[in-house]
Amino acid sequence: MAVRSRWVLVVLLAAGAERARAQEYPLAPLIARLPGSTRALAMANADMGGRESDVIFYNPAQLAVAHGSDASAELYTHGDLLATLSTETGLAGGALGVGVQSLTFSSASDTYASPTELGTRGPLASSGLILAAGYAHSLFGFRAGANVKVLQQQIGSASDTRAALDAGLSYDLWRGTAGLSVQNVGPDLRTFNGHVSQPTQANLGFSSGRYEAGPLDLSAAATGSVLRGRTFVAGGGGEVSYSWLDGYAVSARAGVRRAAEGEGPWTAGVGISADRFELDYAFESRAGRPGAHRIGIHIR
Amino acid sequence: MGAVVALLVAGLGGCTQSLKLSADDSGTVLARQLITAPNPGEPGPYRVRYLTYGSGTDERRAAYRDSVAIRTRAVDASPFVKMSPQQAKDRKALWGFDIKHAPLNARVWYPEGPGPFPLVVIAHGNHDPTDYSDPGYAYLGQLLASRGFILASIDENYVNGSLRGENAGRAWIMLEHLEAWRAFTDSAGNPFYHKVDWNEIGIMGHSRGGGAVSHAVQFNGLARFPDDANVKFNFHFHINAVVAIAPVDGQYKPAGKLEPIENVNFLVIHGSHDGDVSEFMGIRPYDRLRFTDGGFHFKSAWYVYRANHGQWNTVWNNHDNGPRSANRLDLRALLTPEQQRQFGKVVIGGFLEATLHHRTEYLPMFRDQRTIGHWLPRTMYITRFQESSFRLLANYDEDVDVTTGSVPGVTISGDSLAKWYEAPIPLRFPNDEQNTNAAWLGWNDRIAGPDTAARGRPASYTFTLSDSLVSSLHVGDSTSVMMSIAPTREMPGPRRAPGDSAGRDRARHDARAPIVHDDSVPMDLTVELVDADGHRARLPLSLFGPVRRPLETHVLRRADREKTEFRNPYEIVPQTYPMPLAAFVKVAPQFEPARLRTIRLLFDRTPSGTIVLDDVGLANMDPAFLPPGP
Repeated sequence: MAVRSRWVLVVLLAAGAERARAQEYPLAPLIARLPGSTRALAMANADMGGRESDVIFYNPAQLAVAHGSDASAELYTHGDLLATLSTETGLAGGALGVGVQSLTFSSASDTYASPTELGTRGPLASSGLILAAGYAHSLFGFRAGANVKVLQQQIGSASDTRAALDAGLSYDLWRGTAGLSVQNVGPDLRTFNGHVSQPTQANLGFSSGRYEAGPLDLSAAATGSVLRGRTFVAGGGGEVSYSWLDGYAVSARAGVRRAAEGEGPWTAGVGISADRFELDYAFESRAGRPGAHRIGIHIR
Repeated sequence: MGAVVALLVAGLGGCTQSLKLSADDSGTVLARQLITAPNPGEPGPYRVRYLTYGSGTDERRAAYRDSVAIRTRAVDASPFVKMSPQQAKDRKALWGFDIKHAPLNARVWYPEGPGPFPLVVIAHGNHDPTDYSDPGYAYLGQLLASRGFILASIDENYVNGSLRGENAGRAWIMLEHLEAWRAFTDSAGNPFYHKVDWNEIGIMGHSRGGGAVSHAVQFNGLARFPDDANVKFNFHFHINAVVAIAPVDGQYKPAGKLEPIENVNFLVIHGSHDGDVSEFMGIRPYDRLRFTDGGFHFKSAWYVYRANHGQWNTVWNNHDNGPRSANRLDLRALLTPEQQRQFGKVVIGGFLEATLHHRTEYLPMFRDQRTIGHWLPRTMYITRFQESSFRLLANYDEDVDVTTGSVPGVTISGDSLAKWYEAPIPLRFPNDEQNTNAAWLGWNDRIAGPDTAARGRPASYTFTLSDSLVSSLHVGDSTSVMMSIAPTREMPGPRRAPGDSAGRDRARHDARAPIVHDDSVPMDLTVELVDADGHRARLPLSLFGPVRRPLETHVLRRADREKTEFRNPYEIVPQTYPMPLAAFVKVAPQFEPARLRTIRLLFDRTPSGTIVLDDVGLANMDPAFLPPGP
């Protein structure tokens, strides 16, 4: 198996990449369906085995081995903005992580906001917020973790806040990490004229370790997710890095995905790391409109 | 825009440092060649032959499969090599055998002729297991075989990689190879039948293999494995020469101890720019080695400026930190591989000639590097030396009384010293030490105040020897005073003006922090000997060897990492100065060596400085060590 099979998986995902079936199932808040990591976004938003603090938005189990702090911002057209902060610290043999995501956008619907509305100009000033706190610990070679989250969404004058839970499990194999997580398990959000389910989803993915290929380092990641309403999305991407000095490297990344609602099929990005600092840029294509740009910093 | 580009370039370049090297004095120090024997680093008269021996079933290497000239048995190394079940499984998958069936594979370079020849076994150290390390000593094999030695470079690649508890195994496998050789030489029809001189056995090792040679010397004399007494030993080889190349020390401690080593000839070499074992660990087994059996032995340590870890193995080369060493290590500072290996050939060749062929004409090179100035590649060397006639006066390890030596009859006093204390000698890595104490002596002759020319009397540090001690040590014309000294980079502040209540024993000095020395001021001091009648003889220390401040060492490309990973940008390595009393008699004919009473260091040649002093003693060394001298 090892390396070859993982690359085969990425290629298969690429071959099958297409826009997922248009969603017919209303979900809220919108912010809970958006990317949490710049590096991951550049690789089709696949980060189930990530090792940076923003993995809290993908698989809380990986907090056990995550490091540093992350901040990023994604700009959609018409000024819609997603901002993300996360950090972690060791606690009681495991690791505690916290994360915050904030979204400001405008919505056309007063019921729920669809991802297709990002980057469009709607009549209703809207926002979303996630406050997440997670803890992870290693056990019998596995890592297990859970998040407690507060989800908030405001569309026009209607606002609601709900709690939600995430849980994750991960395991190192084939010099990489396999991860499984379930996100956004919690009560429906009230909207202007009813209730909308949280975007509960189950994710299964793999993140490879780094493989040396001459002067380059190669790595890859892939994720498949089933979203409430039986929408299946998947994506995978790769990263090529070059280091010329211990602690310094430049990276190029690309990903393809079977896209969820509002998303386009491909992503790309670059990064530069200088000792404890890493600056990343990612671009994601959007369905039917200009793509979104994301910039993030990671501090080890 | 230009500023942005400049900032970007600076940022991407990181905090790399410019190449910093100490000023090279080798043109002066190595200007002369005093030994007239043939260069031991050059090929000898024997025609060289080559073969491999081993399991004959190796799945990965043809040299140990189809082309073995002698088949050897497998050995169970499991008591000596600790690994997890997963590691054991992975290794069996990689090699096709497990550690209970470890093969005895080796490449052998040997001289054509009836023999018997000394046998030398060399063990490589840790490296990528699949980048086989054992061929990397072919250059030594070719040389030594041409000079009448058999060299077996043994295969321990199967314990390389990520293991941490295998160093006892490296030593034991080395001894098992010698057992295999015993069978070779006893078997009629074997190419080595009666070709080994079993009184002249040498073992060599590099890196972890260099650490293993100390364990092998121990195991060779033991009846049982210290960590599992159910495992019996019965080796008892006549190991006469031990060579440690950039060794580790203390990764394995038999019975939890850094083992004492006794009664072997020992050579250790280490590079200042070692990017793997980046401190002179081999100075510790050098220091632990004792000569207790009354036989003739010596030990020698060479610290080679600008040498690295790997260039003594042609497979490893300048990849001390793996295939991408150039990202981390400053390779610009290094000697060329050819220079570094030429040094190895000269010093290892000379050592084996002296110890296994008993070619005494090579002994002086270990007493004084300046005797082989034309053989040594041009760089700077710090050498330590001691032979079995050495009798200790002070090594500062016995107690905390700074006024007493290490044996009865030695008293110590200081005068006008700014610093006088005993403390451990550090190694470069924080919290690591050479495991030996030394005297730290600092001085500054200048008197504080507006008169910058005002000087006090020179500081001094004095050993006074009792009559009975001198008598018992048989001090005479052929005796040498021995001491090891390392100047440091610190310069104590000037003395306070006289008239205060400071005592004579310790001048009061300005309390400001020491100033780092200006390297342009040469470092030297006077050694003064006084006999019982008060006759004095004085000579400069520099007459007996190079006196240098620490050699500037920057191993890493990044200055910030260099600062965090290392305590100092240099290693404190005391240089040994053997000082024949006959040389003092030449300048002061009235001085009577047999009536020696005082050995004094007089700090009158450099206005200020600090030295580290260790291993002060007297030696009536074999005359072969002495001539020729500068």
